[in-house]
Amino acid sequence: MNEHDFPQNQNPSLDGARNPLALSRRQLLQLLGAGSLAALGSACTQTSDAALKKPAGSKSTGKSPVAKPSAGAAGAAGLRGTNNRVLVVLELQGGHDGFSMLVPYADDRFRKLRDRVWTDPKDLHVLDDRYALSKGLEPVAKRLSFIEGVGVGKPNLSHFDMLQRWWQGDPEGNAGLLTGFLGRCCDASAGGEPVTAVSLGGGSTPSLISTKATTVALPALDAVRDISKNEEEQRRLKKAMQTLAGARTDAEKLGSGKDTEQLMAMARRGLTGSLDLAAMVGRIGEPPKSYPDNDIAQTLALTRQLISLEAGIKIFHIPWGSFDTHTNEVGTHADHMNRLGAGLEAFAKDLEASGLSDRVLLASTSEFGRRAEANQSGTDHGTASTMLMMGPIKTGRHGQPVNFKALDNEGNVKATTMMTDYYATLASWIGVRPEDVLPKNSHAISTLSI
Amino acid sequence: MAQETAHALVSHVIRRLTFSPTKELVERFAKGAASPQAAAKSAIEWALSAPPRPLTPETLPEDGWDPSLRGWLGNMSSPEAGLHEKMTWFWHSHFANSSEKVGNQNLLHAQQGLFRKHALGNFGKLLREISTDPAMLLYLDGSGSNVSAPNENYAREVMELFTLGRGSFSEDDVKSGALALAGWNVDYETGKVTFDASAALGGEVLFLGRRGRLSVDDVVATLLAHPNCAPYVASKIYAYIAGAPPTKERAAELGKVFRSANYEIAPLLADIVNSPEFLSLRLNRPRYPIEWFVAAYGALGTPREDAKDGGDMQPWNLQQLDQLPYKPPNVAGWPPGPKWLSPSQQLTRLAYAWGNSWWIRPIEGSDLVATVLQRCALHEVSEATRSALHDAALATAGSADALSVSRRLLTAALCSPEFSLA
Repeated sequence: MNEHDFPQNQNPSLDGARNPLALSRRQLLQLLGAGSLAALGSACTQTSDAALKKPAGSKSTGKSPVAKPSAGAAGAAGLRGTNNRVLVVLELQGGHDGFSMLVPYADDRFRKLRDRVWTDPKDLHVLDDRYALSKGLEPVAKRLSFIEGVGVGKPNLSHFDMLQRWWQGDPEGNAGLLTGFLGRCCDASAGGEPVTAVSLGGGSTPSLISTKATTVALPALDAVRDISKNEEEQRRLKKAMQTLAGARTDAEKLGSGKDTEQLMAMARRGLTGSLDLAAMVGRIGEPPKSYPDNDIAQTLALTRQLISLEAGIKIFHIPWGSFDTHTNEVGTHADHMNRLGAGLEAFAKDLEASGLSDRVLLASTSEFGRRAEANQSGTDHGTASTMLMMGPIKTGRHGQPVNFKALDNEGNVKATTMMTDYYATLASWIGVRPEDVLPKNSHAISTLSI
Repeated sequence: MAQETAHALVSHVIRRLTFSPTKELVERFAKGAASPQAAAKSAIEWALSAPPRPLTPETLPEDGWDPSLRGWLGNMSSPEAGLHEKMTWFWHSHFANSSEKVGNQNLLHAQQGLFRKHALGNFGKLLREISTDPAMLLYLDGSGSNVSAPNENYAREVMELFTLGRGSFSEDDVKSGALALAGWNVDYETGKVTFDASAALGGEVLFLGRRGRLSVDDVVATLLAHPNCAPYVASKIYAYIAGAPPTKERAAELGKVFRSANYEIAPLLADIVNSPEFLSLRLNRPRYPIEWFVAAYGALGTPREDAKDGGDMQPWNLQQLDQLPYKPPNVAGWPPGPKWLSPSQQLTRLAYAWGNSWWIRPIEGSDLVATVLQRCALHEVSEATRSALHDAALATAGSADALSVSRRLLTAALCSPEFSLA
């Protein structure tokens, strides 16, 4: 695949520029207008260096690299009936073993491969004569949808390579994209709200890099709440910060000249954004008591509170967990599923009580699954994996099961559902046309009845 | 480039080569220097040769997390600490291990000691020792890896992140590396590392072009002999110290310097900081939260005598700032880049500066802004920031008490774009 398979107006390629600081002033300000500092940050990391590389032989399109997204049917108004929908993306960090979540326990070949990390079906929540769920998900077993075998055609086993492909929505990692898939969804669906997407709990994320919409990471709330104890003081401090943030960009050259000037502009935008963020944080109350006291449950509680602000946030990104289960897989995975199941149960009930359940879809991602065959007590990096969804869609299993008898050269399963089709499903949910944000021929999974 | 005064250049050197750019340190080298360049040179010489700080505390009490963290931050804050301290941190972010998985703080504290020992020493020796370091064996699952079903985690990351970079190896190299590295075990309680020959490689493997019954020593030697190793590691050090990745040509040059010094780290750093471009590559990367935090703590200064519970560094704020020592986000460590200027980062910094300034002594003097800027070691400041600080001081001078004005000024200076950059 090459970048021309992507909708060009969504693809802010940097013609020949490997260093984001070499962006033109106009490009930079537009990117900053997006509040997408996180995005620029990621472009500077070693691990996502390739994000800035244009594929060999690709030519400049001559179009503005930060042109506005099309104002087509998927513009601000969204597709009919989708404009108040919310997408919650749960990123299971480290490469999640979907086979330990939705266990094909009756598959003899799988049984053999996983002998060293086997959980007896009596300790699982058995769904039918072929599949069982990790026990922790039992409380929400009837609410969940699963997509089997989600992955890419030519996988790689590096965390950082695959993270980049998933973050960018670029199945082969060679399209030279600077935006994230979720960031492009924000651009295509933004309708004037101050913040279109929020990342919770993990700092900024490259998946939310956008060119137009504002996407932010929300810091820990208690640190911020401390600022506002004395109202008069706060007013004065805010005024000082506003003056600092709002200063015209500096005419004289400091430090390294242009690079410094651009970083200073970013810092001032960051300050402006921080004041907006503080205002938003000020409107959030104490967390609801109905959620268990674990990390993912509390993050889901905050998500529901933010949805209830009705501030127009369309996408929540929640990076969570440490699923890189090279060792001690059985215990680590079960512990995560226990927390997740309890959190999802509280979330689902809270959404019902708040009249929000028809508007919210939660969907998992992960850079890859785990190796079909276990090592001593865990599993090494793999490829395709089972994704989890919860929302007003058709529950149960979707897609095609993977074939444990037809592994690739590295001993990994082959994907049966493409990442891009899975992503097309998520885009459709919030009223974004897949062709506006993904490579051609990406189609939503029809059996989910979204 | 304006403002290349002795103070500006010395401040740059001290910011880059230490964690604690205090007013006193800047004055020490800038005052009375023959030229700005001569001042910078003397600051560089001092930072390169400042003696290593010892691992603090020497041994950890039962619940050692907090003492270990505070000991490290104390070393960073020390006005005696030079480049050695800065590189100790670099290696922690390069060979990033998280307490979340390792669990045993004694092992991570000892690992900090290892980084301290080799901070300006030899990369080859460090690589060999870290490869069987107990915390690393636990973090990247080398412990318990058996040749019959070897664990690939360390074999992959040692090539991808620690030595060669992506695209320098194949999946077969990962598998072979994992076989060659099997057989090591860690006793979780004591941290004792043992080698079990029966779980280790018996036959031959082909690893990065070298065939044989390879041991961990052979794996390390093969990595060091790989042409991508020296340029990859040297470039990462360069980006940290000089603020931007080297050009391709410079990366190759740095690789040669590193390789011909037999992977000695000090000569590589001397080459970087004594090169002509180092003094002009100023304010060209954001300060990492840890750099911002230690510098901000220094600028806030000692507490008022009457504030008995004040003056604490509150190291847990580093968690909110996304850079708590011993808790890197993943094995790639903390990424560089403008993400550290994001709204959420700025808001957390604002909260820290304001929340930890209530105990300062009111700032005195005829020019409050100049005093605050000196205190923050800011000697290269835009007119925009300067006038914003003047406004903040003037607008409320009559109506508010001196402490409030001082707090507001300091908070604004610590959140200024200039203080946010390294």
